[in-house]
Amino acid sequence: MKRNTKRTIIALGLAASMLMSVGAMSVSAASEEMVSVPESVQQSPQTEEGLEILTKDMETEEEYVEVVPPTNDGRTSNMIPSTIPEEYEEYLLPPAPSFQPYAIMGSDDERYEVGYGDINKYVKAICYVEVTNQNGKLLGRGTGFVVGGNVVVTAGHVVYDCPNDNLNQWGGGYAPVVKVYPQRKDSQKPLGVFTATQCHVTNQYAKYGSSQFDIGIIRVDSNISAKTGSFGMQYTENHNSLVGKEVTVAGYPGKIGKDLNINAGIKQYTMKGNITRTYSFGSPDGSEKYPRIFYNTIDTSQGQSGAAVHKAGFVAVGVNTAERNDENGGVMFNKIYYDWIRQYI
Amino acid sequence: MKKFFLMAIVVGLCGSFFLAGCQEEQKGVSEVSSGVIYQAEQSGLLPAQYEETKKTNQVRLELFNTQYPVDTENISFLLVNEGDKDIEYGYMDLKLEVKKKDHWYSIPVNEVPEILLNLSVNDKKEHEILLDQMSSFRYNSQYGEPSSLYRYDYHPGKYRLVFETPEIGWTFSEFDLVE
Repeated sequence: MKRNTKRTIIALGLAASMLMSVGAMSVSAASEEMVSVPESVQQSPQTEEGLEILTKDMETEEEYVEVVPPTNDGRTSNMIPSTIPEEYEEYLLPPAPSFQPYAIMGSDDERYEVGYGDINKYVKAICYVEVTNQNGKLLGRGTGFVVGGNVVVTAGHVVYDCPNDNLNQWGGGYAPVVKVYPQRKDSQKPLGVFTATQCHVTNQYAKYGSSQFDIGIIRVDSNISAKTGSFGMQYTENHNSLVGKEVTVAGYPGKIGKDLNINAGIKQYTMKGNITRTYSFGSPDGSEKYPRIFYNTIDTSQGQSGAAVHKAGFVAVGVNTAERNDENGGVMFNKIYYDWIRQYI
Repeated sequence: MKKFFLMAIVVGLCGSFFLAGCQEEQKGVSEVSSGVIYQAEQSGLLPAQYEETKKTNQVRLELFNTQYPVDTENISFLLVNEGDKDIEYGYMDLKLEVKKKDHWYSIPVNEVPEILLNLSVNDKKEHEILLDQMSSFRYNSQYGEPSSLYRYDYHPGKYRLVFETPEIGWTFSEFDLVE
């Protein structure tokens, strides 16, 4: 009898514990539902009139907000092909077996130098992007890629320092001077230097630095793509369709190797891998999405912000922007971004 | 009988804490569900590990105050290059740590941009970090992501900001968050 009573009481205790846990979960769920949506994400850069863009004229230093209207040029394709010669694909292939890859953060750093270090095999449309002050003092560096005409795409934070974001890269606002070096290898600049004449980010990014809007456009002083060829671009309405697809991220990391303790100089490094997840931010009216793209098998590091995330055939589907503890990622092209970039080409 | 009843309550409470703990652990992982990902909540702090021999004088990290209100939204600091070569660094090289029982723990980082910044010899730069309380940016990514670099619910206590790169070593500056 005593034993039965004991069992009953213990059972009651356990049941009570289950109930308490369920209660705790409910409270937790309720608190998640009640969270407020911050101002930074209540506004979309897309208005009925078009995309709200903050532009800086680098020569006059004038800044202005303009609305880029939706394109209505009759083009309906979701893809622009690349003009980079096919043979460059092989320079982005995995290294020869004799190549010793670096190690990085518990797994191998499997990036390797494009074209096995031969500058002639560097992809010309991949650019080293340098930010300096007016006196030429280096402030920061990233990567960009040519998409046609005089247009280079990069990450928003490579050209714009959002005052409401972390760190204060150079005191806020647009970079004072932006220079673009295609195919650069350390001090070698086979195609010279192109100076930015205009830079663009979405007004939303300028205000809040939100990661889903972290995309920037650099327009340089001459037709850079005539010398470099250009990446293609593609967007998809269904961002989930890219999960599992193989992509390459090639750019100019500052550091490589295990613990990122090897100075890479200024060299193109590349790595292939699969897109492991995507997700999308909704705009307030639900009409448009701002997808992001992540890959947990592609090593990237500081300096690779602005690199193309591209499929075979040099067709970019997004821009590499950030790293997290367990994955790297960026902004994925949607129709809005695609149309916006295309208008400058 | 009374003893058994007390025991049952204790067992019940232990079970409840255990299950709550499991739930807390799961929250540290991003969950993708029908296109919606919930921001990871506060996951575990990691013990800070630095080699004393790698402390550097090449760079100085200087806070403007030693105390800040616990609800402060940002903290500014100065990085000064006192060495003889340029310093390349990025967001990942700044670690925010909290002291618990005489040990320092790194606060998890949310997401960092991959720009590489440069600090010339004899130059100094003022930076800032945002200290949004994690609970204030706990929203799902359908609407966006927090801009704060770190994931933590700040409370009064001792903290330090550490600057560390593999090439030059590490340095830090301590501060208190107070009521």
